[in-house]
Amino acid sequence: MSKPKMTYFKYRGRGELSRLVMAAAGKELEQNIVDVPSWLKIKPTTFFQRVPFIEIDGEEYHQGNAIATYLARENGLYGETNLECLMIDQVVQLKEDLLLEEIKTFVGSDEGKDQAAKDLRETVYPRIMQIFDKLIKQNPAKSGFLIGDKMTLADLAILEASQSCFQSNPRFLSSFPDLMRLREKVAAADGVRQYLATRIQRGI
Amino acid sequence: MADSEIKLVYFINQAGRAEATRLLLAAAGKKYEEVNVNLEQWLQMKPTAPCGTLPIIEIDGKRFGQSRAIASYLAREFGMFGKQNLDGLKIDQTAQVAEDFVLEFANKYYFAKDAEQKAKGAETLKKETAPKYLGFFEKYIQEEGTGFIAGSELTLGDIVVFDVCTGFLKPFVDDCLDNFPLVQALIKTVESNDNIKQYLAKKKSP
Repeated sequence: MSKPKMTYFKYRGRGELSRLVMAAAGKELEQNIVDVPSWLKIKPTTFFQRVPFIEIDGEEYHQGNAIATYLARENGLYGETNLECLMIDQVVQLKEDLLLEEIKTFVGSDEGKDQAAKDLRETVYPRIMQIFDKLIKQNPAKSGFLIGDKMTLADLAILEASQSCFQSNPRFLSSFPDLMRLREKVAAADGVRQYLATRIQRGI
Repeated sequence: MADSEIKLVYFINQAGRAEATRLLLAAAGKKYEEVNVNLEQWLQMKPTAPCGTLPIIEIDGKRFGQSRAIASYLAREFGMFGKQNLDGLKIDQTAQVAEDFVLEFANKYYFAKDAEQKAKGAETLKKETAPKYLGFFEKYIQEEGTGFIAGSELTLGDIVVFDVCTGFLKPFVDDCLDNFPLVQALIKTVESNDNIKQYLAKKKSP
């Protein structure tokens, strides 16, 4: 596979998981970062007119989670059994559910944004962070990772899924010690560590 | 998987987010138990649901949530996830685009605040949203050049397209389907699969 190129905004959003996968894999992902005006200019020239999209050997593919999963499979960061893959996909899709709620704090009326922030604080973050924490605890290997004793796409997804929550209220996450330990483990992993060191903080 | 015991939990009388999984299980000829719940029963179950939502699948007693994850897992078990990683990307892409369509349906119609909004939402879904998404599917099939979403045999990608066009989104898709010949042809192909034919016949007269 020749070097893939991803086009996306500067935000984490639906592109960050792919960036984390390639960082963890020690592989280069060429980034084409666009702002909204320049995206709107090139949008009609793209096949599917959506971001993020990735170009692999001249072909264009979209859907952020599909891309991240593909890159994880290419680089040994997916499950080894089908059941492990299901456990990973479950987490990635839970992350997507969460992102949809978080996006409501960035778009729409001020009232809507305030309500969304309240919902996140009072119900959504507690519910979802608890699910992540429980899943990590359930790993019989007790490695601190979600599956077995090595890092997979699921761990990168949990790091990313809890990032906005961590940025807005780090103390809240301390009530989920296994989740916090996983965040530290993943952030310290080779490749991820160096990537995070130079990453600019974004709200979403 | 041949010996695994599968239990699928979902709402009573709803295709919704379980139908793609049912179609997959049917195509694979895999027997399973279905547990249907009403809203009250679901609310009691919810606190212990793995992801807080339905459907739930139980595989030899282990429970998992997230309908797209469940469908992908089963597709891989049944050899319906393509032959190479790029096929997987095409199938995931299709499933996640379908998910975007479901979300637009939810935002514009299902959660509309009154009858007027609902009516407006339905119009938008029929005139703009459905053509947009069917347009994606049409392009995927065209690109692949085999009549299928990925490779040259039935995969989860094809089942997803079939489910979008014939499941709970059907009322919004019917008007524009004629403009997408490759999608129409794929629907006929899926329908002609023996196992799926049987499943659909049973649904009509249980």
